[in-house]
Amino acid sequence: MQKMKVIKSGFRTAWTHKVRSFFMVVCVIIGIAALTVIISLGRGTEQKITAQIHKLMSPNSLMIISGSGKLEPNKPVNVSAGLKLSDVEDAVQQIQNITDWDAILRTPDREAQANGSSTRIDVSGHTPSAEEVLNLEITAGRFFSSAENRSLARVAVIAPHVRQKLFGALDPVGQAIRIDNIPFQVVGVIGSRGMDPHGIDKDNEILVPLNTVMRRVVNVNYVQFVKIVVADEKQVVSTSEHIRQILREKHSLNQNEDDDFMIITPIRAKEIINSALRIFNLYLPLLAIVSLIVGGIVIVNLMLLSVNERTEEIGLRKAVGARSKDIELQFLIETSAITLSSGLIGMLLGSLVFMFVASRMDIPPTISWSAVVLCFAVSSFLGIAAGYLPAKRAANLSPIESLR
Amino acid sequence: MISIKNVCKTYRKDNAEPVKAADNITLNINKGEFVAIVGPSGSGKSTLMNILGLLDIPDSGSYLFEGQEVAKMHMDELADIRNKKIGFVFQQFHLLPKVSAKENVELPLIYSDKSNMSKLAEDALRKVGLTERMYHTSSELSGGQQQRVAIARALVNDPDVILADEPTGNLDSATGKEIMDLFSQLHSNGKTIILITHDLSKASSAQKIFSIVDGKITEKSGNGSPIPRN
Repeated sequence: MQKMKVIKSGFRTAWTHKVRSFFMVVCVIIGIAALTVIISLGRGTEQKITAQIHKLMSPNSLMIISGSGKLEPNKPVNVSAGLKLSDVEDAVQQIQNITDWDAILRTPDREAQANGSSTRIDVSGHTPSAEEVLNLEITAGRFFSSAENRSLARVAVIAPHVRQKLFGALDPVGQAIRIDNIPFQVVGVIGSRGMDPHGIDKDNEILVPLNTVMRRVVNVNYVQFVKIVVADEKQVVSTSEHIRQILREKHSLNQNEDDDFMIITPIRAKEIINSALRIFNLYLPLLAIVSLIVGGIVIVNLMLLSVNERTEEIGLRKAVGARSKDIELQFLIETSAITLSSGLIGMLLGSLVFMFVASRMDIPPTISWSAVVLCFAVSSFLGIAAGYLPAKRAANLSPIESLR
Repeated sequence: MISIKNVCKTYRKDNAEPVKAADNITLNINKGEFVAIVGPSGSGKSTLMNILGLLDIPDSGSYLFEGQEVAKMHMDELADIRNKKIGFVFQQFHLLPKVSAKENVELPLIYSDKSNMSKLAEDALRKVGLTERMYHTSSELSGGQQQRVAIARALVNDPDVILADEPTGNLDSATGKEIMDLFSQLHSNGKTIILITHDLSKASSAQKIFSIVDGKITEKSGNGSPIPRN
């Protein structure tokens, strides 16, 4: 009964000192909201990148990239030597574990015209096995065949944005399309693949047979990437080593020369991702901790000021019959009411802002609750401790000292 | 009701001579009496008031409040007595800013077991003639009105003793007189009034006057009947 009155009085006082409470509330809300956004954005971005990499590299695959050093910091970029298709074909023939492969040559920013309209698109040359190797979804028509690849056929498979821009609602299959003025025929449409980790829009691509691109579009004898699928994913590392030996031999590299190509296994990919994600895993928590410390200091200061300012009130309350316990309870209620309610509002506000940003940035909208709740707990603890401890000290002073 | 015997209290500050604020004080106050303690500033009268009001504990001597030895009581028991049996009126009013007169008056009730806080506070404000101002905050009230609120706060728990420390010290003489009349009225309603003042003229309604100088009671006047005014 009496306790309830003291608790009510605590809430009442927090409400009475609106301005003081407001600043504490704002401080906590901003701090917690910012932390919620920062941490969740970090985690969301991390998840997004990881998901994209996983889409590119399944555990039973590896990538050969022409040139070296492109993905590794502190290594010179070397793109001089080409990765010849014949090198790859030789390696594939020698290694049992390889079940399938797709060699890729990308030529970005070409002009495509069809149906009276034109647009800039990326042309990507693939072997016919790309359909399986890249796990492409055919939504209309078909993928091109080995015979078409061998005969340098001018056939094209288009991605959804290209279809939309050039054909609109029309059925594109069988229609003519000009790529840099070379006439092609659309034989199929693939489903959406979204952005790749480099920010390239895979839905703005036209896929054509590799040989057609190499001879008719750009006239080169090398490819840029090869994706290889292996039968036994446990042997990915030894397979990659085997490929490396063959390619080094083909490229006549002597012992003290570096590779002029890169082989990326899922394990290596993970290492590269992890080093890129260090910023999220290391700096974001660091940022969060710094914000928390700054916010904590502000909360502690406001609380200390507020309690010191109210020594007289504490003395008066004791003079009219409050016990030390009552004073402690009142301040505990006041400071908890302020820090907890504003912490909750901060978490809510931060989540809303994050949801909005996530939807705009195409990031998975998963809030990192564990980190947010930890921040909330720490700031609440600081706020309550900073409000409660000086109040406890004041409550134990003699009332006349406080009243003076 | 209140009986103190050979009470001493010395204040020590670093690098300063100890101050004997209460030096072997003995006095008795009976239920229903109007008592004044008069002395110049620094004479120790506030110390005596703090001891009488259970806000401070004497270094030595005995203090019986309604026959119970105060020195043996726990802090919480003292708080309980302050809450139920003593009403304080201070020179500086000590009202909570920003809250209404009524909420100020309700303050002691928070720590009591009484439930009808609102009605009791309204009754107390009616007794001091402030019904119309009960929702004003202290900054919206005049000095005299603030002291009335403080008196209502002292009365709200229906204590036996009202302890007033220079209650008119911050008020002009006309308002001061109104406040003193209020104490006389409370006395005639049966309350024990202990008035602490430096101004002997303010003590005119008292039945007993103790003079205090340098922490010692030097003189007692009055024998149970009010001292005639002037």
